Amino acid sequence: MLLEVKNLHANVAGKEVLRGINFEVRPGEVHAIMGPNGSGKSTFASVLAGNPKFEVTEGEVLYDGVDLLSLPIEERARQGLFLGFQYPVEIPGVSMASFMKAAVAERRKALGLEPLSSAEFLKLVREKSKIVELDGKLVSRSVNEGFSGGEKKKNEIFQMAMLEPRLAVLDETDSGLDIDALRIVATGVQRLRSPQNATIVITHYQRLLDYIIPDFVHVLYKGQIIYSGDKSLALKLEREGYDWLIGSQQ
Amino acid sequence: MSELQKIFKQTALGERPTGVEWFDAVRHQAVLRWGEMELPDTKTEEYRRFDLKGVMSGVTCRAEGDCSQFEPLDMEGEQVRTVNGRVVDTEYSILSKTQISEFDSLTGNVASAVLNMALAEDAVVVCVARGESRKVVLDSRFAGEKGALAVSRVLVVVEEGASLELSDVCRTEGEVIALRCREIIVGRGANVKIADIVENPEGTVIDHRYTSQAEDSTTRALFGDVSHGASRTNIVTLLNGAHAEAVCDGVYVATHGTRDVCLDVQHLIGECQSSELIKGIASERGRGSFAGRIYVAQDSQKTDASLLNRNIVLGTEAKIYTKPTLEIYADDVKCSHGATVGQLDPEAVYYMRQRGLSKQAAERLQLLGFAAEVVERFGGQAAERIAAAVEQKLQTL
Ligand SMILES: Nc1ncnc2c1ncn2[C@@H]1O[C@H](COP(=O)(O)OP(=O)(O)OP(=O)(O)O)[C@@H](O)[C@H]1O
Ligand SMILES: [Mg+2]
Repeated sequence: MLLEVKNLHANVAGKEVLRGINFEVRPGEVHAIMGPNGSGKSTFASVLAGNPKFEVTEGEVLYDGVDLLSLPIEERARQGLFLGFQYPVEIPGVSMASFMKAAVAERRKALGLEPLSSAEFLKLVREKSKIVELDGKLVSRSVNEGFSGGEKKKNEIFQMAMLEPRLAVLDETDSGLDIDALRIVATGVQRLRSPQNATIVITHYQRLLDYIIPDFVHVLYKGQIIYSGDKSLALKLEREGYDWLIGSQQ
Repeated sequence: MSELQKIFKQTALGERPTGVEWFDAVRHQAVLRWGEMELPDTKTEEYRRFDLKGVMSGVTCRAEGDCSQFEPLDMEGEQVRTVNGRVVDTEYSILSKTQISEFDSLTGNVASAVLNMALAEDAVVVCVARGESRKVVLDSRFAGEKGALAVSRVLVVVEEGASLELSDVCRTEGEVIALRCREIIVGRGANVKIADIVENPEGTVIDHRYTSQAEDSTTRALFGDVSHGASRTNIVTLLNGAHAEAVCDGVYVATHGTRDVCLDVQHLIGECQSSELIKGIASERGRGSFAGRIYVAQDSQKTDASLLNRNIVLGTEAKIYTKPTLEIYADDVKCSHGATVGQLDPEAVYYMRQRGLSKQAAERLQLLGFAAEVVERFGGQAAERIAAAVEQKLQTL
């Protein structure tokens, strides 16, 4: 098992937003998490990543058998947990290149690999930016600063490609993308799939799942996974909305 | 009588003549101008955190420290070395020149600058002739025990249409007090780039930089101060000719002592442009202070000026004070000023940690990014040196 989430509860600003999540991911799997606005999807992703804004009050998360919640944010990342942010952060003055160079170095260190030379790093940048058709010029700019909404999302996938995570959590990477960009990003993600790694995609739209075929689709509602199914569930949700599920909840 | 007064008396009585008559005469004029002047302290001076009077009252002797231990500067350009104000490369010494009318013409009645002239025993002269283009590196070395005073002076004259790239690297050894004054006279259509780098580990630096610009001239200046000691930087830019343009940026990292930056840009005629961006980082027990003014004289119409001071304060003990002001006596102008004092962006730190950077590395990278803006807009070898110095300093935070 790559990820085991057991009865996870978390608070933000004194309010309980995750109310007992149970969830399992095996290597090679793709899970989609859907659910109405405010149901706790980003919170779940943030708690996995270790965002200090959220306080875990109960439950357990095992990542590759290790107690994930006891690891600092950067250690989780170095061990291969990647979060594609719903709202990527702009960092003025910090170039993408120097940021990624440091990030790749840490990831490689954790994997017991030698650091890359400058030439090797540049080669990797070129190779990976091609996957998401990211304009090479963006890599020489400050992190996300002045990037368009779509460019920011592509940049998240570019970073994912650079870091080759074992578990990627992509929080609404599809929103704000035009149809071409969506295809590019989604096929990019698809190309990075392997039997060893796994992906959790958080999305509102079934169309992303045309490219990234999920093994499971889950519905998160009021901080709990209230329903799970296969990819046909996404289609049903798109047609019928959440009412039929929520109704049965109440 | 304090030691400073004794030292002053010596020059006043002509006990330490340089032997160059015209220089001694200029110095004597400064002694007379000094007359009843007094150095200001933090009470008498508006919005300054650096106690000039207090610091100077700690003077015990003239600095005589040996500066041979400093590494030569690995920078491109004509090297001009000074040791405690004495010019080592004597062809640049004012004592080897005939009278220069521009010398001591800009400082007016600023007490610390007058005192500097009254006590000076040498000065660097860089004169870039009409149409010439030069690159000069000032290697300003100061060494001495606690309380030792070094007085240094520089005159730069850039004639019409000439251009100069000047890098001034100030280094100190021991708790010496360096009292510096530089006058930069920029002729018509001339082009000057000035980088000031203060790398001293523990000395105190009191610096004056006066720049006067004729019409159509441009200057671009950057200072970078990463010292551990205290420093006071007085930068005055006088725009005397139409269409003159001045960019004056700076960045400092204060971990101990006070960085006091006083900036004064005077639009004395219309149709000039100026832009200043000063960035401060204070941590531990560092203090930063910025007092900046854009002055637009009567009827200096079509002035375009902006003044911005941005700061990051780390920890609970560090402090930064800032006061940018505008003083405008013309109605058709475009002037702006602003100041921010903030902290590191926790979202950015989180984002970088999520990619595997340690908290410390993420914070440093963000601080470096904060400083990068001014460094990049300057560019070249001096900017690289400043960036490296800032990076090195941030490693210690
Ligand atoms: N920093 C915060 N302070 C206060 N409340 C918060 C904070 N972050 C999230 N919440 C609340 O927690 C709940 C879950 O938010 P979350 O962002 O996880 O929802 P989501 O499912 O990702 O929604 P969306 O589909 O709109 O992205 C919401 O009610 C939200 O208002
Ligand atoms: Mg969300």
